[in-house]
Amino acid sequence: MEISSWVVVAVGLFLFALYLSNVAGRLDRLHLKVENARNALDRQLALRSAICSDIAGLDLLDTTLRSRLANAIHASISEESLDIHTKNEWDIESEVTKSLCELFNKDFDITKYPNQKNLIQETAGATRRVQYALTFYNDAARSAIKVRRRWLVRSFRLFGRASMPVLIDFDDQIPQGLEFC
Amino acid sequence: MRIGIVCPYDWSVPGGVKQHIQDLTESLLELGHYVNVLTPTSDEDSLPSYATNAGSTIALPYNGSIARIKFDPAAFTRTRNWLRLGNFDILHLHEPNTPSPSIIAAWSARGPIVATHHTSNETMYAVKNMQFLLQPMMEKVIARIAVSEEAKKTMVDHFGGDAVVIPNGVRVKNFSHAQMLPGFDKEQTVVFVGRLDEPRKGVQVLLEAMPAVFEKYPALKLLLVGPGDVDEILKSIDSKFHSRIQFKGFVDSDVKASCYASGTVYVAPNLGGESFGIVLLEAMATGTPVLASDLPAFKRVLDDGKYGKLFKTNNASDLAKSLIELIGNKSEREHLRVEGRTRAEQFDWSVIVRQILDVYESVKSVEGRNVREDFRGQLYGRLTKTGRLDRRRVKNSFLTE
Repeated sequence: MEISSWVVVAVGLFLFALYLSNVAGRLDRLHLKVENARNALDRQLALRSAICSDIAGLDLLDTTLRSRLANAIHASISEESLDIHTKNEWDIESEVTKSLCELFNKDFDITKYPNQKNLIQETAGATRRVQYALTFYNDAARSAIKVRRRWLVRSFRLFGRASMPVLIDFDDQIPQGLEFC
Repeated sequence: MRIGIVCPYDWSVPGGVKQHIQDLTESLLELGHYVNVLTPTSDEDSLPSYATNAGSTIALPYNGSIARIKFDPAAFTRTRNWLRLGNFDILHLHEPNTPSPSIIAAWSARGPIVATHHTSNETMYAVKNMQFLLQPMMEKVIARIAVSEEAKKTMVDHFGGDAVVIPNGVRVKNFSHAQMLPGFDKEQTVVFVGRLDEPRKGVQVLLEAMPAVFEKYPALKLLLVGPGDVDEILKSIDSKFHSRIQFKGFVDSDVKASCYASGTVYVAPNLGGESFGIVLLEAMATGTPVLASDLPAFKRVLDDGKYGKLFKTNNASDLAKSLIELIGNKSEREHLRVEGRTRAEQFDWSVIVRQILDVYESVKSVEGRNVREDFRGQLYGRLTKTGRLDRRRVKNSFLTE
C-alpha cells in the first residue's frame, strides 16, 4: 500500500477512537447522574417516612387509617435498614402512598387543622419531593439505557463495569387533599 | 440557598417568560433565599438589583412572536464570569433550547441544573435538526419542569425524557386590589388584553363577533389593551362602532390590573400557541369573569368551564352568543367572580414557589456540591485534570452528607 493510504487509515482510526472516547465519557456521566438520582430518591423516601410517622401520631385524624399508615412506614423503615432492594420494597412505598392518599382524600380540608398547618404542608412537600425524585431518577435511567442499547456501545463495551440501570415503579401520586398545600 | 436563574429573553421587553422569572425571583427573595438573574437587556439602568446584564439583544422571529435573544462571544464570557462569581447551589435555566445565555450556561456549567420549558408548539424544526448537538448538553440538566401538560408534550417530542409539571403562578395580591379605570362602566365593558398585531392572540375573532354584541347592548364598550396598529384594527370593523372601541396601547402591570378590573367580562379569543393561561388567572384574580376559547391549556385552567366560560376556538358566532349570554346574566357573573378568585388563589406564587423549591431540594441533595464551571467539552478540559470526572470526590460528598 502507498504511504498516503496508511496515513488516511491512521487518521480515520484516530477519529474513530476519539468518537468512542466521547461516547464513553458521555455514558460515564449518565451513569453518575443515575447513581446520584438514586441516592436522592432514597433520601427523599427516608424523609417522607420520617414525616409520616409524625402524621401517624396525630390524634385528630382517623384512627384506622393512621394505623395503616404506621404499619406501612414501619415496613418501609425496617426494609431500608436491612438494605434489601427487591421489588417488594417498592410495593411497600406504594402502600405508604396509598395510605396517605386515603388519609388526605379530596374531602380533606387543611383549614380545619390550624395548629397542624406546618406539619401538613411539610407532608405535602415530602410527597411532592418523592414524586419529583422518582421522575428525575427514571428520566436519568431511561437516557442511560437508551445510550447503552446502541450496538456500538455494546460491541465495544463502552459502559465498562457499570451495571445496567433499572427503572423503578411505585405509586407516587400526591394525595388530592394536599394538592394545593 | 443560592440560586442562579438564567432568563433567555430581553428583560426590558415584557413577556410571559420574563414575567414568570420576575415573579419567581421575587417570591424566592421573600423567603430569604439569595437569587441572581442573568439576563440580556437593552436597557441596563432599569434592571432590578437582583439581575446581572448579559448584553444587548437582537430580534428574531420565534414561535409566532418576536423573540429578542442573545448569542455571541461576549455572552459566553459574561455567562462564565457570572457562574464563577455566583457560586450557586442551584442553576435554574429557562427555555434551555433557545440560542441564548440559557444554552451557554447549560454548556459551561455542571452540578445541580434545573430547566423550565415554557413553549408549547407542534414543531420546532430548528431544534429537531440541531438535536444531535444539543442532546449531550441537555443531559446535564438533572431536573426538568414544564409549565403545562402541553409544554411537557412539546418537550418530550423534541428531546425525549420526562418532566414534572409545575404550573405558572400569579401574584394574586398585585391584582386583587386593582382600582377600576375612570370612565368605564363595570356592567358594560368587554376587555381584551394582548398584542393586537399577533394573529394567534385572536383579536380578529373578537372583532368579528363584536358587531352583534354591540347591537344587543347599546351602551357597551370594548377595551383593547396591548401594543399594535390601531388603524389596522379599526379597518376590520364597521365605522359606526369606532366610537365604542377604546385603545390602551402598551401598559405596565399595575395599569393592566386596572384594565382587567374595569371589565364586565374578560375575553381570551386566542387561537393556539398558548401553553398556559396566565392571563386568565390574572383576570380571575381581579374578580373579572373570564370567557376563553376552548384551547386545551385554557380548558385545564378553567377546569372545563367550572371557573370561567368557554367558547369554540376561532368561532366568532359562538363567541358572540356566549358573550351576549354572559353580559346579560348578572348572577352567573357574580358566581364566576367568586369561583375565579378561589382558582387564582390556588395558583398564587406563594403556593407555586414551594413546589419549585421542592424540585431544588430533590436535586440539591443529588450532588452535594454546588454549580461550577465545566471544562470537559473543551480541549483544555480534556488535557487537564479539571476536565476529568472525579468519582472519588463525588462519592465522598455522599458519605459526609
